[in-house]
Amino acid sequence: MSSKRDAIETFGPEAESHRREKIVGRRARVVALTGADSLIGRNLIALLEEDHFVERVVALDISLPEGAGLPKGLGSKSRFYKVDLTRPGVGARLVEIFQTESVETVVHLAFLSNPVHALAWSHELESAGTMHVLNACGDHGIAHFILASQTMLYGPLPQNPNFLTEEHPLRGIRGSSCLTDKIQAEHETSRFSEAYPQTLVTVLRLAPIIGPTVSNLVTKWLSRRLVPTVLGFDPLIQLLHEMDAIAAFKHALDHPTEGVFNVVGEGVLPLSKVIKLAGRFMLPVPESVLHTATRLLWSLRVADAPAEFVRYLRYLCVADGQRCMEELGLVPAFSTREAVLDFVGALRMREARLLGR
Amino acid sequence: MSDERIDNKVCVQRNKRPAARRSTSPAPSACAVDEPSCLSSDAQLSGIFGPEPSQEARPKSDDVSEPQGTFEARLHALVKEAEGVGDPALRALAIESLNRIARTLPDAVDEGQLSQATHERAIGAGGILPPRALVTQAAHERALGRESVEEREVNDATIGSFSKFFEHRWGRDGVRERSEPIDEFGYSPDFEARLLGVLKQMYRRWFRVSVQGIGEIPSQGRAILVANHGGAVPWDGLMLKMAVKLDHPSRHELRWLAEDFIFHTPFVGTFVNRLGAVRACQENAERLLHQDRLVAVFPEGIQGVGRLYSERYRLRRFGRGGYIKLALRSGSPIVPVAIVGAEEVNPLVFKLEVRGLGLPFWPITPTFPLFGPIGLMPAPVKWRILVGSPIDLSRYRSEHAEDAHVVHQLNDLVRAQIQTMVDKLVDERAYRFPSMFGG
Repeated sequence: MSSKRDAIETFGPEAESHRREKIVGRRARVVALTGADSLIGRNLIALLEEDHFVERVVALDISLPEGAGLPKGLGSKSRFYKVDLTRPGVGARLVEIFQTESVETVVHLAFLSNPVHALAWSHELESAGTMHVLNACGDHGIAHFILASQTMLYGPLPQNPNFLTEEHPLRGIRGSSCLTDKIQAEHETSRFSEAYPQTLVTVLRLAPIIGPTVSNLVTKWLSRRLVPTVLGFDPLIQLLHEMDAIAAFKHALDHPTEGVFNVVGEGVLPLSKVIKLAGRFMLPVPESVLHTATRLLWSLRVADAPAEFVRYLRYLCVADGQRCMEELGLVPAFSTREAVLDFVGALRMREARLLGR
Repeated sequence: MSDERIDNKVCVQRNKRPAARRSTSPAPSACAVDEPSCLSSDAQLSGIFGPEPSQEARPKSDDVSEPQGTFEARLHALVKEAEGVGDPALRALAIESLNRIARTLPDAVDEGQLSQATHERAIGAGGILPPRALVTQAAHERALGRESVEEREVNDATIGSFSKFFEHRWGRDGVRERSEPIDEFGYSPDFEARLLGVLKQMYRRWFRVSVQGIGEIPSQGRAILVANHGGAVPWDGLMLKMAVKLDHPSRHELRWLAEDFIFHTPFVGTFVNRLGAVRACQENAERLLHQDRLVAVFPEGIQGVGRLYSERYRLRRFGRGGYIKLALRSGSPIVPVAIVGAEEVNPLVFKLEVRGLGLPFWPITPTFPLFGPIGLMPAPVKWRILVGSPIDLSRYRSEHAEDAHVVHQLNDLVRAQIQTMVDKLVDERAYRFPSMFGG
């Protein structure tokens, strides 16, 4: 992927601006979203509905996006197609949809935000699903492809530097298939990027998302009264506000830029301070005990995450957002601690029963 | 008479209070908005509408009666000014803003109302818009064709465009400035301040550290301190930090690179991290040096820590010269440092090569594990630190970092120099340590 960026540089800035014009200059765009019924998907549809230069929004998912972010259902510009990425013949259907709607930009959001027990299904959805989407994009010949990824994929490893750049390999956690599926999706995407140089490929690696409306691993973990941590460890945590996550995709749509970008909130906070900010109590547990307990609870379908995720409470997994600010031009609005505070505000309101789920 | 006066006062206050009214108004959306961001988001919004002339054209908040003071009037002025300047984009932006106001806010009379309404609109638009989100909005607007406002300019021009005092006192940046910093590497000045008393006692009374040549450390800019390592429990990083903090005339901060086994040991790792230790790796060191910080490295690494008492002060291999490459790449001077005393604090008699708790070996000292954890208490040995003059690497270029020969030579040179300095300090000591542990 970096070789392609170099190629742009060797052709000079004019070539790049020409390329951008090819996409932005036309203005009226047709954007397809896979996994449209997700937090980012729903909000992005609402944002694109407002955008005068978006002609159509093609929402692809197994369920109609509605609810949070889209109070009145899909707007006039949006069209919904029920597409199940785990079906074997889905590629042909995607090509058909892309052609009938003349899709120019695809935002691939069909990833699970929480780890699940159905490993075969999640593999089909994330790894094989990405392959289907990319094949359809290649067959149809789209102009811009945006992939949603996570900085968590770098993995909580003892040898991590304090700030992981985009060049750092995605290592995940050994034995955690929910991360390896997403890593495979990234690898598929970089292969696609090399095979189809005429398509701009943007990969947004988002830090763990937190915010007033999102419900994921982090918010569930912080909503407990007693928050389990690893005894003797207090790693630095980096989070991203949900609004910045959504804004990142809108920004990437408006400013098509080739490359991989870490989208992260400014600054870091020690885990203990995050828990203090949330007004929760820390429950430090020796790692082996926590690991065993989580494994047991996970197999009993009680825990939110498999036992491997305990390592995130022990080792650093913090990414460097410099390139996103410089090359993509996106400055996240919320720092890590502001994002936590915003989440805590909503949490308090929920506890006082002033805010629904 | 007096009633009237009171009324007047109330009137004046009401006129002057757009900000207060805004900050007390409840956030209309479901999302929780912290008050400071409301305040500054108004400032920012008005900034987007007219950042350039805002400095001169912006009226005081109490002369609302003057037609010049209304926001619309200012926008009209802005349109004219933009025409004068010949900036069509700015003009388009102002016209667009005017149209928007005409569409959505027919009743907005004075600035207070207007910014209240604008703020509500921003909130109602589908989420809260804190000030820096408006940068994103500006970018968004630019993408829509209203291209004129540079993001950075928006940020700079609008801070304090409403009131510098409010912005600094209650604004988001004010909170950011005042809140306790935990820097990106995990160093917490607050944590250090709480421990400073103990650390000072440790430095002055317990180890009685005497420092020579601390002035050799450059008083500004990046530099790498290279020191020898020693002792089963490496106190040297912390003491070197205290030496810089307490005895250097102008510098107060030192980051030292800690080996993995220290950094990932429960409690200890977090403890030293909050005091300024950083996990030793090339990326971290480069980042620190690019921020023009003072970085201490112990190139012997684990070999230095695992040195037996019988081999004390005989320097081991200085790694593979990673610190030389670092210095050459970042253009930092190397300051050699010799530390004597660290090796006697917990004299290592034997290494039990059993891995556990992430430790590479379990130290056997005369007191540990004999007396349990108390046995790891540092012996009150007198410490000496000698700082040599910086080694000038300016005749080398950064390309030399790839030249194994140059790196090797420089590495040997630095090691030899530190060994000489260590020997000098050891010889200077008035007393000799007993050689009962086979030394």
